Amino acid sequence: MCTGGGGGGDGGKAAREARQREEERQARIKSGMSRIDAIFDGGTVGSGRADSYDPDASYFTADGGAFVAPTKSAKYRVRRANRTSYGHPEDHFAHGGTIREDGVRIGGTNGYVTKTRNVLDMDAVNSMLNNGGLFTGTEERKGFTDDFYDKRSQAYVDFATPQLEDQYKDASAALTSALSRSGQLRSTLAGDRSSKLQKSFATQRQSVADKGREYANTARRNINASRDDAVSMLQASADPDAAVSSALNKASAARDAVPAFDPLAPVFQNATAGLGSYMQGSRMGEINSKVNNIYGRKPGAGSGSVVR
Amino acid sequence: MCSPVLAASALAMTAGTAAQSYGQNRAEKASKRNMERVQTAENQRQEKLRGERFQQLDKALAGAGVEGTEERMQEAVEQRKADYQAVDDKSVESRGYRESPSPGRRGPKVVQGELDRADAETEADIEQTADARARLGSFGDSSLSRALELSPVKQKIATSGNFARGSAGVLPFEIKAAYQKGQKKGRTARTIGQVLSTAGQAGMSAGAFNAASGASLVPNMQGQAAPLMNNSSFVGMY
Repeated sequence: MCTGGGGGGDGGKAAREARQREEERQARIKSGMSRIDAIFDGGTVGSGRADSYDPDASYFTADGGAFVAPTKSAKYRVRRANRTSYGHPEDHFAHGGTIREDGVRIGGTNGYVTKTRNVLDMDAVNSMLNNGGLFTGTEERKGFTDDFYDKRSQAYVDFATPQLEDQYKDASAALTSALSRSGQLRSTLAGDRSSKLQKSFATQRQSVADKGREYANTARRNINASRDDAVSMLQASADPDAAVSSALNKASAARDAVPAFDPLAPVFQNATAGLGSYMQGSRMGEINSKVNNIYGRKPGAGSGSVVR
Repeated sequence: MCSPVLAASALAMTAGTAAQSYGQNRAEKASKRNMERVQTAENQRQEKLRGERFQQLDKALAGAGVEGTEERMQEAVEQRKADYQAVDDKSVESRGYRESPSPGRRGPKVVQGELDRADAETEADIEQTADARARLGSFGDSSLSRALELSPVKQKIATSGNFARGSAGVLPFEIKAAYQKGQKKGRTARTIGQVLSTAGQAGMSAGAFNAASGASLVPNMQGQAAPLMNNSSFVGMY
């Protein structure tokens, strides 16, 4: 990368060092971001930070990709085994070298040839080691996908639905019993009450679904806040290990957290409400009606008699 | 008449000043060039980072606006309704009721008709409630989904801003170094100029001194100028 000049004695050295430190800082943050992304979004991520480099071993980058050792072009000199093999009378050995057709640079001093070859760029490797960008293995991270949150929601639904069903069964039995006692089991009143109970049951089922979604949404918010914290920490400190460690802890805590679901409160208390009074009212109505019939009074007429 | 020493000194001074000026000029030009190069490199870095930020901003703006919000809200409504349906399907009692409604079904025909009508009304009410609930919750769902969508964008913009600030923080060091490096140019000319100026100045001083002394000298016997001194011991020489 272009370092934008520099030079100029101690000032130049300081500037070069400052630029290098800044580039390393940015590399550390990028590496940390990749790992944080993998923790929260899922995917392959490098694991086991490498402390040293062995050219024969395999290494991986922060995003789980295979590490390809960086190389740089370097010149080297070797003594040519057979000078005469070139055979040209105007051989270049005495005249400062040339480049052969195969691209090898042939030097011009005393039978030595200068060649270029790609060699391992240890500076770049060391920089990656120092910045925590090199790993000895990989691991697969599941990440917090929609599936994870759906399971959160489903966990609440699974928790609350049986309770709701039990309450509904009890309420339904109580209603049937109350209607039966009043002899209204096969009446429009029974249909009306049953419909109301059904409606209430459906509304409660919807509440359970909504509550499940609320738990899932809260989990989404919390996990996103954890991710924000980890990224902020990374940006402030440029220390990917600390930030990733914090992110991992929070992610594990979120994944393993046992949700504290509130038990379902009684929801069908009103299923039979009013049926007692209704029955009493009906009985009273019947008695009144019978009494009126016996005494020849019309229903609704006053109880007083006319005195002439 | 002007003495050769004075003339040479004046020439040396002039040449020295010119050389110094030339050297200084070269140094200033080199410093300016170096500083511009450093500034350009930094500008390019900043431009690249700014481009990344604008790219993220474009992503963020893509889902903004009423249309995007309404689309997300509609998705949320469908999602919530699907949730309700999933709970209904999971509920044994709900399924049981739908398959075999209520004990009142065995009543007289008139009652049964009334019950069917009530059932239909109930179903419609439940459907309407589900729709209303889903719509009620959809704005919150839409806002959350939007916030979660924007979160990585926000993080990327912040990271890019962080890089831009860090990079800009190095610039003063680089500018200073570039200036210092530029000042090395023309050093030889300046040194030569300085030497010439110093020599010219010395020559001028010496020439001036000689000239001043020459005015009060008297030729001696050999026709050489000798200092006129008040010391009486020298009087015998004449």
